[in-house]
Amino acid sequence: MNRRDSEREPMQKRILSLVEKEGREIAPVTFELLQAGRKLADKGGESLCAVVLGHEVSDISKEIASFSDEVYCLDNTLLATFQVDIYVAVLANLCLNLGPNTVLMGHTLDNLDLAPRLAYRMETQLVTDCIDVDIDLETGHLLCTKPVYGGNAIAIFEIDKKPQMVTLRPKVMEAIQRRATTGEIINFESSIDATLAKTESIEIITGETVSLDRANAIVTGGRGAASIEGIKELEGLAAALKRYFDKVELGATRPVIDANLLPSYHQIGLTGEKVNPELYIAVGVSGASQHIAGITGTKKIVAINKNPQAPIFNIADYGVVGQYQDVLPAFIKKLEEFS
Amino acid sequence: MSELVMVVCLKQVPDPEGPASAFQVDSEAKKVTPVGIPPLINPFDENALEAALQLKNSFGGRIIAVSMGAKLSRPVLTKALAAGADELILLEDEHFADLNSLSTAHVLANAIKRIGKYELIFTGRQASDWDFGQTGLIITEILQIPGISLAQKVKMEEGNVIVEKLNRNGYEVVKASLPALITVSSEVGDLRMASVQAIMAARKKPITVWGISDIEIDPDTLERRKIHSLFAPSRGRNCNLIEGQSSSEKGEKLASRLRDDKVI
Repeated sequence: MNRRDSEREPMQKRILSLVEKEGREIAPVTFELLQAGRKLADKGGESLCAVVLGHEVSDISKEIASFSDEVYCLDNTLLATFQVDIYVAVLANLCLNLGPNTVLMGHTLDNLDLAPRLAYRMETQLVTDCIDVDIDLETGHLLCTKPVYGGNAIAIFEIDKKPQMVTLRPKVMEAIQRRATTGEIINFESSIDATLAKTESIEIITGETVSLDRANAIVTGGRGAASIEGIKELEGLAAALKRYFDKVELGATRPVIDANLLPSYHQIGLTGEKVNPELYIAVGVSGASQHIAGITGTKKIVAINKNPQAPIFNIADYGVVGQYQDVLPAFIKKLEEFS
Repeated sequence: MSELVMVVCLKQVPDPEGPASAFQVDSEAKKVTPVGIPPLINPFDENALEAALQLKNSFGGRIIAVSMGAKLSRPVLTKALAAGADELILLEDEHFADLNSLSTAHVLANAIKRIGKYELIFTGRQASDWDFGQTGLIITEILQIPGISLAQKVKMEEGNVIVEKLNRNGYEVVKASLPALITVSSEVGDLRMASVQAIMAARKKPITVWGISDIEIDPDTLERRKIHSLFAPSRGRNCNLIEGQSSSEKGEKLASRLRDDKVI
């Protein structure tokens, strides 16, 4: 089915959920957004619509149709790579046409740029980096749960304008299950041209990638392990954990980054990545709130620290008081024996 | 080319490195009150100032630091002057308390319009208190100028600004004409230390205070953060301390315990 932006249809209650891509793949957070959207849609009697932006995205649209009531497919050569001015123009146009109640986006680097601008153009409010969303059936307002002050408080913000917009932190929701029914795919054409872009891309540099946000186990070194030997030990532990988890990454707190032991993209905390792995092992990490803010969604936290007073033990599930140089070799050996 | 004028927006926040006990959560008043920790400049905003100072070193120009709030600390914000900003504008008015991102951006944008001539505006990518990360980008929209977010490096080339913008897999080099707004990430580098002479010299630099009437904003149009509820996080994980005669025994027992609990 094709629809042009001039053909307005009567307002239907809709939740739009943006499909996040990583290259040609659908990013995992997409299915978490759809799950959040489904929860809201069921509660409020709304339909769940996925929105796919890009070029040659019909395969992605077909795949996504198994998870939503409708798929709006915005396919245009100008959308092949992310350019914020063009993306925001297209999405604003779609929102003006559909009049959605809610727009859900992943809390990704691109959306940090895109979402605030879209909210401004739609004259609405946006709550970023949410860990939960709910709807107040009495008022119809969206309730958006978000850690603030470095995770030292949790705020629930209320949005009283439409569309209600949030960016959702990855890995805080379960992924949605495939449905037996298939949603309708609607090709939405939007008149855009390249002159909308206010910036010009000169080149894209691909660096070493660390997928901290996708890791299911993370070994993090703190000040107490901030040495070349310390990092070697952590690498050994990470290698042993690969027998149990498919994505294991090294994390670091600020002192480790400042000592140039690991590149800055390993940093976890308020000013680094926020992570939600199944297992988080903190070695020589004191537990400053700045760091804790980055790991609050973790399923199980293990702390190894020689100082029994370290605040990290207050938020850990398992604690070992001892020198990591003595604890880790025995721990690693056992891990290898078990598997 | 005429002098490059750079505006850097700085937010005053409670020290984000403060211990958890320093952040008193008042669910009744829906407020977080910092106790016993000093206010300081939001760390990402310090990075933004550093980015401007790096440009000033290479290309010259003038840096105007701007901060907004109901009550601002002079000692905290004059740090920007000591580090190398040329001028400080304080947007101080009781109407500026607890504004949401949109209204904050309107106040700052009006102040920037009153400054008149500007080529570059810098903000931090987000603030450590409410962590919304929207103000800079909304200013971009209000002023209808190019905006580049998440800068790790900023330079000038033939009258254009060239920015290394972080993305998921590395970074993208992006070019924009002036005036432009740039939101800055920590990769730019920490704010330089001020020398004793610079701290002394900063005392002679101009500080201007503008209230709401100076920037032509109707107080009735300002919106506050709409908080439904606010509470302290449930930090209470029950820490199972692994006991043992030696550290290596504890290490072995940790592995067994994780296996028994099906964590691994």
